[in-house]
Amino acid sequence: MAQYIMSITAQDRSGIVAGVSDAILALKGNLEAASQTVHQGYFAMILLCAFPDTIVEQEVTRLIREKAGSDLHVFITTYQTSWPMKTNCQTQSFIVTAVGPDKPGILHQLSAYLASKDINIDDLYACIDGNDFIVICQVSVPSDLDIFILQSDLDNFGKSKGFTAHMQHENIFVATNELRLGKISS
Amino acid sequence: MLRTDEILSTIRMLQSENLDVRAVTMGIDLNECAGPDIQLVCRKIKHKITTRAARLVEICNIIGGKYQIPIVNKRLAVSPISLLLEGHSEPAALKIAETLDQSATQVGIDLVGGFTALVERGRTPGQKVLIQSLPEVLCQTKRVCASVNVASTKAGINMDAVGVMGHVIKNIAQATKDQNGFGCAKLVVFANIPSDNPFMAGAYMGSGQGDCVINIGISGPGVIKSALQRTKANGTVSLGELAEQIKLTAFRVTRVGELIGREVAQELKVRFGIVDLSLAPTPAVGDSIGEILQTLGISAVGAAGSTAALALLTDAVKKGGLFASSSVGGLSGAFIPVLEDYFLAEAARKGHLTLEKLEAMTSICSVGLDMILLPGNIEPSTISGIIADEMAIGVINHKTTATRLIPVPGGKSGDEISFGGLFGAGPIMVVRDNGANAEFIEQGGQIPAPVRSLTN
Repeated sequence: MAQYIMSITAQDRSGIVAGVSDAILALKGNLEAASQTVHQGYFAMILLCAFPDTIVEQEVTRLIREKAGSDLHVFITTYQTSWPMKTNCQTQSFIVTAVGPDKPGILHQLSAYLASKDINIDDLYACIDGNDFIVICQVSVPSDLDIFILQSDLDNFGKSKGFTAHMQHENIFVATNELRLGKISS
Repeated sequence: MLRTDEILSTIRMLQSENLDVRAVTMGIDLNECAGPDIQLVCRKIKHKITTRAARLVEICNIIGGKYQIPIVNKRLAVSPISLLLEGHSEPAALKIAETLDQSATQVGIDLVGGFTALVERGRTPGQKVLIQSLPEVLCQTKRVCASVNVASTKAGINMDAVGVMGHVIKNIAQATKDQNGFGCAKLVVFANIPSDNPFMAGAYMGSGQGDCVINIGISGPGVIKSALQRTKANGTVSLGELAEQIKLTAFRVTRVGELIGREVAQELKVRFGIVDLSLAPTPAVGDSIGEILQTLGISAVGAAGSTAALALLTDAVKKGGLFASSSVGGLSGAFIPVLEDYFLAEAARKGHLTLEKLEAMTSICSVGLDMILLPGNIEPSTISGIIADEMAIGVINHKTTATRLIPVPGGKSGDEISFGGLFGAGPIMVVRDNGANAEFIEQGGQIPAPVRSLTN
């Protein structure tokens, strides 16, 4: 069996997941992991699937469109288990929030800053609330970085670009919203 | 990822609703420092404090920064100094107090509690030395806070001690008359003193807690008020629904304190003790217990219904806090310090909030008569009477009650006094029938323990 990463986007309606999974079954494939959301009326899904070695990618795309809708955007690529860009250093999970008057470039500026510090964005949410643009990122911060310096940099960076930015360890959000305390690392 | 609306509500609590950790208090047992040579005792005290608490402020700043939550006060609480004074005289008391002052300064702490005597049944020579030294100690030192436990449900009320404390408080006020009697703001008289209270001025390190411990005092009047306002903005709600919202908010506030406390304790390699659920106000607008009562519908705090509203608030906070933490302790009650809550101070100025109503509130929820300014001509027996009334409430109801009374030399009822900063400002209260209880107090002795003290 060969593993593939697939991403699927379409205008949301009922039946998309049923159609996609039907196609996988018909091709004697196995769905190993999936994550799906609906955002701004559009369905988006990313899957890890295994198919027999004889399958070609175009056939998978064709059958998914046949079963789930011809308007589906399907992207499929071979799953790579080694990530040359991913470091093996220890990280801690922080939540970065940025709020400011909506204007072009906020997400780019914030994400470019995080990238400059080798901080990976693991999850992201952004929306416009009134006149404000809100970005919430769950990030992995290498443990050898000084959090105080990062927070100060982020604060100054945000002020210079016209938004308010904060970075806080995820434990505070876990503690105040979930029935667990979160892991305290030394 | 966590839900985005929950992340945003936590951010709102931290950034715009004055949520903070009000106190991280390190308790240190000093009993091993006892000895006949007072110079050696003081050297041992200084060594132990400056060693154990060397990194307290630094670690608090690091942990607070990690979560971007202010840890407002870092404090120390030591084991009762009266135990170190056995076999010593009053000059030794001042030497120890000055050592505490210097040690606290060295480690960057602004207040150290534990200049304490537990005298609910009688006074030892060391305890008498401590009590008699209070005017000089509280005048000469900046950081030392004192407490005297004169009653308990098991023991009853030591009325000899109550009588003495009336005179001592008057003397402390006189010794600090240049500061409007401010020395009295550093002394609390208790019934059923808690051994793990992190808040000043009544914090001390009780026995049975080991050598060193971290106790946490949370706060969040602003968070609770905002939560109630949002609930009411959605439409007509009942008091039960408001209580439920307070409970949910108190859960979140307490979890912040628990998280911070456990992490500070872990970094310092010290046992984590308790989270005190008390909502502690400050003079800042938006950080007021009075504002919460106003939001609950009491427009003039002190009016009929105020005690019931405070009972609703305190009970809901306790329920939310108890679920949030398995280590709840300290006072965990409602703080209604008149000077330290701008809304309460204003209610007192306008005559809505009287001494009698404050006493009624302590009967079921509040922890005591706190930061109460009194006329300068108040008789010591009347001070003792106010203390005795408060002690009776605590003893009969098996709860902690306390008094922090400040006679203002030369001051009259209605005069405005400001201590500034966190100590706030407010009016001198009206005290009725000054001196009418002199015979009651002079009789002294012990008011026996109530029948409910027999629990076996």
